[in-house]
Amino acid sequence: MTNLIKLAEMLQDSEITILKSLAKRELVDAHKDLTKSEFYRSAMYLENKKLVDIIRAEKQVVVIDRNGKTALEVGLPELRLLELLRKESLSLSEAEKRLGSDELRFAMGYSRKAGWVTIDNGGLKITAEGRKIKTSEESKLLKKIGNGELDLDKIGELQHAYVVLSKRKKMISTIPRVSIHLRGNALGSEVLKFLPKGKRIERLTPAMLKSGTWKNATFRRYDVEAPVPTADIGKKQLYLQFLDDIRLKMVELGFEEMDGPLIETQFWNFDALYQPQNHPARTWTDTYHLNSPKFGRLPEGKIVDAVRAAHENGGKTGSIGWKYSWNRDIAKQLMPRAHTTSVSARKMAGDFKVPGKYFTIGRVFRPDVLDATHLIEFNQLEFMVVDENLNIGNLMGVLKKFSEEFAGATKVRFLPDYYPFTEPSVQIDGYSPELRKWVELGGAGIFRPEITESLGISAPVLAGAFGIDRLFQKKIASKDIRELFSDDLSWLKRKEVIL
Amino acid sequence: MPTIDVHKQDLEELVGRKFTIEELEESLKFVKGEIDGVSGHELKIEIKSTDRPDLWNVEGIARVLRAHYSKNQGIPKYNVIKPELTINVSEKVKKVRPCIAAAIIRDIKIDDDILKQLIQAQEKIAGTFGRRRREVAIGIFNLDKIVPPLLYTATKPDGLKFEPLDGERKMTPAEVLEIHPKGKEFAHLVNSHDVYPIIIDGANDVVSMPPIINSEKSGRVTKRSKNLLIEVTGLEMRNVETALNILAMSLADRGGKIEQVNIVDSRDNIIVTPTFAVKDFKVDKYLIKRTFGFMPSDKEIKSLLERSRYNVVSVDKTDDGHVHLQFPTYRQDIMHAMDVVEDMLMAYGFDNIEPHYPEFFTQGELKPATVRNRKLREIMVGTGAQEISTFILTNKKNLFEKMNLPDDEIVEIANPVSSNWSVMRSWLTPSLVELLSKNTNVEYPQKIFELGQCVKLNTRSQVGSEEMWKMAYSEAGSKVNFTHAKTILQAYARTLGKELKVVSKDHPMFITGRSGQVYLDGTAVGIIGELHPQVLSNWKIEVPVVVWEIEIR
Repeated sequence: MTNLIKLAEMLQDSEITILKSLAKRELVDAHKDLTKSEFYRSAMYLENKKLVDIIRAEKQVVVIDRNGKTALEVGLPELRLLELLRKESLSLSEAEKRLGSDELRFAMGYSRKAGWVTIDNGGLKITAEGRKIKTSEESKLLKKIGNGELDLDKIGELQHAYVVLSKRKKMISTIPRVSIHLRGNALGSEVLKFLPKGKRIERLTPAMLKSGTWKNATFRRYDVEAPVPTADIGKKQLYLQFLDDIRLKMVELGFEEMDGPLIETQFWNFDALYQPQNHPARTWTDTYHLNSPKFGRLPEGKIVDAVRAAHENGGKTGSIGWKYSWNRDIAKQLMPRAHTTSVSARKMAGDFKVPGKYFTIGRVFRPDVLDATHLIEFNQLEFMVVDENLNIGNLMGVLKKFSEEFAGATKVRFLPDYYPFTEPSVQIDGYSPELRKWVELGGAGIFRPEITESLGISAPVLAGAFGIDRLFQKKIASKDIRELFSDDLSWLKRKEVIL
Repeated sequence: MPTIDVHKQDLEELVGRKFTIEELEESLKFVKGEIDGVSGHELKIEIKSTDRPDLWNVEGIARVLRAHYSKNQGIPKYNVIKPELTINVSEKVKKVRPCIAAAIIRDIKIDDDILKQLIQAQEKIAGTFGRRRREVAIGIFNLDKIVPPLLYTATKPDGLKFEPLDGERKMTPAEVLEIHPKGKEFAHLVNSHDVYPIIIDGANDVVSMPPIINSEKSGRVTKRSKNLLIEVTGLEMRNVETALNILAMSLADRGGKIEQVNIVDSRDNIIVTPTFAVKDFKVDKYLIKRTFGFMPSDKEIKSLLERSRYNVVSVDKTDDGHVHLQFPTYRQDIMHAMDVVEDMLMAYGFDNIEPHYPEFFTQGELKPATVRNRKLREIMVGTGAQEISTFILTNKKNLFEKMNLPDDEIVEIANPVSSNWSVMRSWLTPSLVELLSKNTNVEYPQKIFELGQCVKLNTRSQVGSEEMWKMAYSEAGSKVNFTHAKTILQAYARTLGKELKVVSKDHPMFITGRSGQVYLDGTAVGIIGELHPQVLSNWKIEVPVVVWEIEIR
């Protein structure tokens, strides 16, 4: 009983119109007082509420295709040809000029077969028969279809024209349509008895509020449980938001953000990091080089000399050096930075406070092929921790802390590793209960003294990188690393935010 | 990093101990190794020490493990037999490939494991340490097929014919480079010279054409070979000798006897190879204490070093003293005391060290630009637009041609992997339009924005270029028009408290009369407009698109 009342209170005017009509007769695809979309929408609503029965039947309808549309506007080519020839006979080339070659070829074939046109010495002439033709069955059918659709079974006497047009290129097409057949049912007629008396308010208007007329009216009940359309809202790019989160975490941990250029001299990208100039990582295949700009400038002051000495014989760093002749011009070459360690190098050479904690997240570039597991350009989280007496336990402590904070790792292990810039170097793995295996999370080490001493730093500098890309992929269960820079708008809009 | 195939039983025999896989995993930490794959008894071991070629074969790994599981510690000792064979080095080869060192291995019983490891070591060392044979190339020969003495010289490309290994016929050196697969692969190492390095024996037969290929006659080593000659050529003597020592030690570890070889130059200077020289080295005890976080006892210091295959000469009693030690010369990776300390740490084991986060207080801080960027992006999200993030790398066609613009000078990569990613973008709009062009099947209207870095040439800058952040917005849809773009731009400006002025200005990218220059607080910062139909057609977009892009200052 209450349900019937509720149902009745929910009915929209168009639904009531349909229900009332159904009490007398059945409806097919339309109601005279409703627009087509109103009718279909209301029928659906009623069906959802089980107030009507719908029988769906598939039927065939004919609609106009691209060429048909043109023909509808300017006429069928064969009729246009007749129109032209009615005034004067034309040479083939002249006719082609006026009709276009595609059209002419068809129009000629058609008209000759029908005996409307003859060809004489390359000239086109209309026949007496042709002069009688004003329109054709095909033209009539096109007009009948118009810009709407025509039921296949309502074509009637134009059946032949339908067959002909169907064979012609992109004139008409026959497509399936679902026709709905509405029939009243017991619940529907029952509900009508409970229609609320008096005025029903569909929308509350300012006028009603002003006049107070709402006091004597009832509001139509809404089906609040019904589905609603999807709203498009503005959203941050998921990966950038993730990087924002990481940055905030780093700040909470007391880290100061650093910054450095994307285009960098090899000096800061390699030399200041004690990477020898003949190292394979610096070759054409492993590192981008630039056509323009080609060379940058080396920093002023003692740094260049100290770096040169470190490479050639260790200088004052306590090292024996790489033992080769260091070349300024190689160091001056520019490149898109291959890692953010260049930012750390610049920081150490500049405003570097001891003790201190530093980090940066920035784009780096690698000559790779873009695929599901490789990016050509990605973001790196790079960090440094410096104090007078930091040791290997501190290094492991930093890695462990990051693993807990960023990856939620509860079980970790440390492995000795090799990184060109650090000695000793440690890799941290976290145990993944889902994958049932150890997963590499990050790596770090103590910057080689050849690096720090050359830049005037005697304290040990813990330095490392954390694999934020993989972390993000894990968070969104992504199997394709290209999703970090997704160009799929639906994916970007649909993908849920990481909380 | 090198990955090497190891037969588990072979490794166990060389170490003198059996291992479970778990035990092996633990002990491989001493050589920065990880098991990368197991199939039956065949193991793939990844050695992360790209600076330790002496660890890139099973004998090298076993050499370190023996020190941890037996009393065989300190620098490994190798006895050598005095030289009989001489290699004369001609002046002619000095300019091409100046250095050569060699060793003879006698009475070696070659089995499948040895052969496999030998070939593998040769490949890894010449490939990685030898920089694809440029710095170091290795040849191994059946000594019994060689007539002494040997001559290392240089030959004309059409010089002495010989049958290269797997070559099936005699060829001139030039033909080897042209026809033989190895010749083609490594021709670039020699063909810039007018003569090529060659080793000829006493019977005037070619032994080898380094760094390309051995001869079929003496260069084919089989299980029947009993005495081997190892020859290493290269550009620097220390690298050549390191490679030679590693191979000689490995074969000696398997029972071979090392015999030295005389290398005699044109002025009759003689050097003898291989030698197993050691270097004296001092490590500050303070550095050990600082890095460990505590001072190990002198006894422990000694033990850690000896297990890492150093010889300890003496340990100073005081904490500010030194540890005097020795290491073999092939340990070229040791440049600083820190390299020794790392070895000690590995011997000590990271598992025995407690992680301890450095708790000293520092004030965390974001760059002002980061804070600003986040706020600017939040404003744009508030307009209902979807944020996107695209690559800074792109190509000139996207940046200019498809936008109806003439080419401009920008940051250009000299060696792009793909022409799609060959320049750094100078502006964002093409990235946005490209994204729209990839989403024509997605419901319209589409509203997107990006705050991203762009790069311009600037000769006054230290890095020849200038980087700036730009904000771009674009809206696409059948009913989209200029007003939409300006409305959003106005909202953006108003939220920032800036006065917006758009001054009409035509631009080839936009429909004439529907674009302008954007001023914020009186400064020209960007452009706004409705994209020209030609631009839309270039990108195969079938709805109107409006955009604006401004530089953030």
